[in-house]
Amino acid sequence: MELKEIADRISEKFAAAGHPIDRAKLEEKINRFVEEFSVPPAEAERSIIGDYARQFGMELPSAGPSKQDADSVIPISEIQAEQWVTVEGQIVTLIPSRSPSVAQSGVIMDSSGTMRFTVWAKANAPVMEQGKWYRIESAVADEYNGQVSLKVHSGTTITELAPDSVPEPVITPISEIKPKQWISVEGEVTTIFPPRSPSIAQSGIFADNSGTIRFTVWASANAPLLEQGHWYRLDLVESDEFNGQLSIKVHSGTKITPISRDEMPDIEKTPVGELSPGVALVEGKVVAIEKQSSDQILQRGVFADDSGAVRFIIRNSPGAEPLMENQWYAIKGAVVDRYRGAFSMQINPGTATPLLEDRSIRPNIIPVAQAGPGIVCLRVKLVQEYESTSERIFQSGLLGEESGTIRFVTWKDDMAQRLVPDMVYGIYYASVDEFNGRLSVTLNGATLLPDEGATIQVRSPNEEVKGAFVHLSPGSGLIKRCPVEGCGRVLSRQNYCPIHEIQPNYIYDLRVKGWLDDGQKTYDTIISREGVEELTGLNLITAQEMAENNPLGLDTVFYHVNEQILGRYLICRGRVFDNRLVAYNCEFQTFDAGMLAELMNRAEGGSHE
Amino acid sequence: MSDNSANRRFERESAKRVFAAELREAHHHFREGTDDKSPTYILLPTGERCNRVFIAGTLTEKKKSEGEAVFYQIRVMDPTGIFFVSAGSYQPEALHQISSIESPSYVVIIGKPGVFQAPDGRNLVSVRAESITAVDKSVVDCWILDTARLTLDRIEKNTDDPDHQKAAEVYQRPFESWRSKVKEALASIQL
Repeated sequence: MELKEIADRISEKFAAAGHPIDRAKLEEKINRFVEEFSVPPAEAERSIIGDYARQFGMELPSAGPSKQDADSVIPISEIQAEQWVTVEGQIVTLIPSRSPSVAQSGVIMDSSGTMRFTVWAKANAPVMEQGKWYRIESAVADEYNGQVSLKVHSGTTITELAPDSVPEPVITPISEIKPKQWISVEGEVTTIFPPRSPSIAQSGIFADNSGTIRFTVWASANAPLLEQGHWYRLDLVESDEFNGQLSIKVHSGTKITPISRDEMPDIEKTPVGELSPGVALVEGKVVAIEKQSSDQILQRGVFADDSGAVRFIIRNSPGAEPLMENQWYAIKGAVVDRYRGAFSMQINPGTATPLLEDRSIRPNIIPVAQAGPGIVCLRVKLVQEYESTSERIFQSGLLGEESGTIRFVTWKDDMAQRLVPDMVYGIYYASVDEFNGRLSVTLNGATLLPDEGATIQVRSPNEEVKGAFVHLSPGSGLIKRCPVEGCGRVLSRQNYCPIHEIQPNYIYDLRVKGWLDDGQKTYDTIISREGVEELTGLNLITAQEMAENNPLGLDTVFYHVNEQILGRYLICRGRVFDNRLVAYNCEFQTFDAGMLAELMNRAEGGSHE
Repeated sequence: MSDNSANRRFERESAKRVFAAELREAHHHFREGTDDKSPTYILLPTGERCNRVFIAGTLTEKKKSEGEAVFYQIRVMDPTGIFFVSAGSYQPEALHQISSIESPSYVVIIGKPGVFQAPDGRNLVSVRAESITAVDKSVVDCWILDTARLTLDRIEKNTDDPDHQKAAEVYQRPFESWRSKVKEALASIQL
C-alpha cells in the first residue's frame, strides 16, 4: 500500500515536470529497495527520486516530494531522518553559532521530546527567542552521527505561537525525573554547596515531597541567586545524568519563580517510619536531645512518632530556634536526607510548630533482624561482652533475641550505663550505623529499661547456604594440627607449626577447604570434621587407615574427598561472614520435585504477562 | 572503581548457570579494567556477565588431540543443546579427570567460557574446563533446576541493571523469548 503511494508520488512529480516514468519499472525499483534490501520506504523514495532527477538533469528540488505530511504537526519524538516535517515546540535552549552559514541553533521541545535544530543563514528566517513556542513548517529532518536534527532552510515557515495556544507546563515530581528532559519542577533549595567553578553560579540540592536532586545554575544563566530554605518553581530546567547521578541544570532559558510559604503546595503528612529523601510534613515528639557538638549545629536529637524515629538536626542559621524535649511538633517542610544509609531530618527556621496536646507514643519495637541504619527501638539481652579494644569504649558486645544478633557499643560519657549479661532490656531510640557492611548499635543517648524476670531465647547465628561445591583447596581432607594447647594450627607436610615449630606429636583432623558457589555468590568455605564425616562417610579412624595403607598417604584422602564432593550440590549450615562460610553440618542436596513444579509454573507464568 | 581494585579483597567470580542454548548465542565479550590481569567476561543473552560457568549434561564425544601436547575436546549435551568443552595442559586437574571418563556419562564441569571465531565467521562459544567430574543423573537434574531458576531470575531481573541493558542492545532478542528454553529443559526431567 505504502509502496504504491510512493510510486504515485514519484510518477506524478516527474510527470508534472514533463518526464513520464515507466510505472512498472518504478514499482520494481521501489520493491527491490524495500522488500529485497529492507531499506526504509522514506529512504528508498529519496534515493529513487535522486536517481531520476540526475537522469533527467533536474535540480534536486528543495521542496522535496516526501513533503506529504508536512502540513500536519508531528510529535518531535516521532521524527525520523529524511523527512519533511512540521513541528510545534518550545525553544528550550539556543547554542551560539560557530559558523557564519548558521543563523541560529539550539534545542526545540514538545511534549514528546526534544531535538537539535539549525537555522541556515540563507533561510532568512525570523530570529527565535529562547522559551517561546513556534510552529516550524516544512523543516527537514536529517541525521548526522546517528543523531537526528531539524534544519530550517529558505522553504521553511516559522510562526510564533500565541501564548494561549501554548500548553501549560506540567510540574514533574523530582522522583520521576529522567535524564535529558526539559521540565518544570517545584521545590525547596535545601542545601547550597560552596562554589567550585567560575562557570557555575550556584549548586546544591533541590527537594520536593517526592525526592531530592542536585541542581546547578550556570553562570551564563544570569539567574538571581537562589536562597537556601526557600521554595521556587523552575520552568525549563534540563535534567542530566552523570555517573548515575541525576541533576537539573538552570540555564539562561530557565524561568525562576519564588514561591512564598503560603503558596507552598500542600504536602501530605508522612509517618516518621515511612520518610524518604525529600521535603515532608511530619508530626512527632522530640524524644531525645543530644549534647551540642559544633558551632554550626544548634541542636541534634531524635524525633519520633508511633511508626518510627529519625535523627533531626537544626543548623545554626539566623532565626533558628531549638526544640524542647518531650514536646510534640508539626514540621512543615522538613528536609529528609540520607547519610551513610540512615535518614536524617533537617529542620529549617520557622518550620516547626509546637502542638499543644501531648499524645502518648508507643515506641515501635522492631526485631533485631529488621534493624538497619537509623534510629531503632529493640528488646534484647546481652549475649556476649567483648573485651574493650579502645580507651573510649565503655562497653561493647553482642545483643540478641529470637530474630538474630547485633553488635553494640557504648562510648565513655557520664551517662553511660552498663548492661548486665542475660538481663532483658528495652532499648529506646538508639542509633544504628553501618561499618564495613556490618551493623552496630550505639547505646549512648538511648533509653535503656531493664525488664527483670523476663527471658528471651537468642537465635543461634546459624545460616544455611545451598550451592555447588566448585573447588577443593589444598589443606583439605586429613590434616595434622599443632598439639600445643590453644594453637591447633594446621601443620605443614614436615609437621611444622608457624608458631611452635616442629611438632611430631600432632593431632589428626578432617576438614574441607574450598569454594561453595550458589550462582550469584561464591563462599570461601571451611567444613569442619562433623560436616566432612556427614558428607564422605569417613571418620578420623577410617581416614587415617586410608592414608596409612596407601602410598599417596594424606593425598589419598584428599582425592577421595574431592571425588565425592566436587561438582555436587550441598546444603551447608554454619556461620557466614561476608563471603566466608564456616560450616558444621552438611548434606548433599537431593532432587526436589516440588521445586520442579514451582519452576514449571514460573516459566509458564510470565509469558502471558 | 578500577583505581582501588588493588585494595579490594579478592573475590572469586561465581560460576554462572547457563543452558547450552543460551551460552552458544553469547558472543559479546569484554574486559573489566585495563590491566593484563583484569578479568574478561562474556555477556549472556539474558543479561549477566559471566567469567566462569558451572554446566552439566551428558558427555557424548571425547576427542584427544593428535599433536604432541595433550589436549581434549569434548561435547556435553544438556536438554537444550551442546556445550563445547576443552582442556589442555594449562588445566591439569581437568585433563587428569577427563582421561578417566568415558562417553557417554553424566558430568558436571566448572570452567571459563570464551568466544572464538570460526573460519566461516561464525562465533563459537567454548568452555575451557577447570574441572570435570562424572556424576549421577540426579546431580544433572539438580543442575537443570538450579539453572532454570537462575535463568528465570535473569529474565525477570530489573531492567535498570547495566548488563541487562547492554544485552538488550547487543543481542536484540527479547529476554522473555528464553522462557521456552527453560520450559524445554524442565520438561526433559523424567521423574
